[in-house]
Amino acid sequence: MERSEAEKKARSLIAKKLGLEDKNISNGDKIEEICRDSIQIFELVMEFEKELGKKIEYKDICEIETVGDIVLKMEKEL
Amino acid sequence: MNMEVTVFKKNEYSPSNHLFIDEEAAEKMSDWRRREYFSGRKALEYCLKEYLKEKDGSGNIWGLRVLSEKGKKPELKLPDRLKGFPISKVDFSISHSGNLSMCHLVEGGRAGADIEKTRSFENDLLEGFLSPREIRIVKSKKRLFKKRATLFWSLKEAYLKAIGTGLVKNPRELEIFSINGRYTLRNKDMFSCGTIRTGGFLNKFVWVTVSLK
Repeated sequence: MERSEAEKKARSLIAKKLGLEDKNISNGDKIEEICRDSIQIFELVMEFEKELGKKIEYKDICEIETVGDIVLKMEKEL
Repeated sequence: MNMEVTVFKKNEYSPSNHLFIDEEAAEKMSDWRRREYFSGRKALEYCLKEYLKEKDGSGNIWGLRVLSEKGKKPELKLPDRLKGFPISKVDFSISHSGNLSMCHLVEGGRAGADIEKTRSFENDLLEGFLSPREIRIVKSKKRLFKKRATLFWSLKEAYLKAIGTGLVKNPRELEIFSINGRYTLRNKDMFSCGTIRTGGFLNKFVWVTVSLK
């Protein structure tokens, strides 16, 4: 998947899941800042698993710190 | 385990005390996250003071620091005067939700804490962290659904924090059982060996502390 498409898709998913506006989400945003709690982080991971069509290895979750990290993952996997 | 202390604290800035604060990290945080961070660390400070008051009557936390490393559970760094004392066997866990923070401290064991605002859960989300048997329990009484679902999340998260993995380990790998009215968790073939306490405030929050041997 192209970077710009991955960015658009990642932002749209995050916005939908967390009730935010796409335009207010940037690659540098930290996941622990845009999610209010651990349940929201878990929900977000589940949403991306659905999108990717496979389980995200839990060790990989550790490496995801920002929206940009999710974009990279989507770019690579889709 | 010899001693446990649990403290709850309302979230607020406490800029006068920077004892356990990583100022560089705090500067990069948003306002609400910084408020949580400061309050959690303040709760830790209260826990440690209570612990030391009980242990040596001093409550003196001078020189204590918190070491935080990415992907690892934060731990205490002791000044020379405290090395070799029981405090070297102290573990702690901090949690935040809404406008509350909590800290749980355990001597001679591993600590896990979680506090959550009671909330609703969609089926997809429940299936993500609970087994079919646990979902049946959570849904068995409609009026208790939100509280039980949130409590089951908290039980698993607090336990995962105690064993030091956090949510890196899939919460579905843990199974919750209620034995004689007390909750326990089974992690693969092993039942938890320790104490699990649960509670609630004003029906809005649930909290869990786990103290593992």
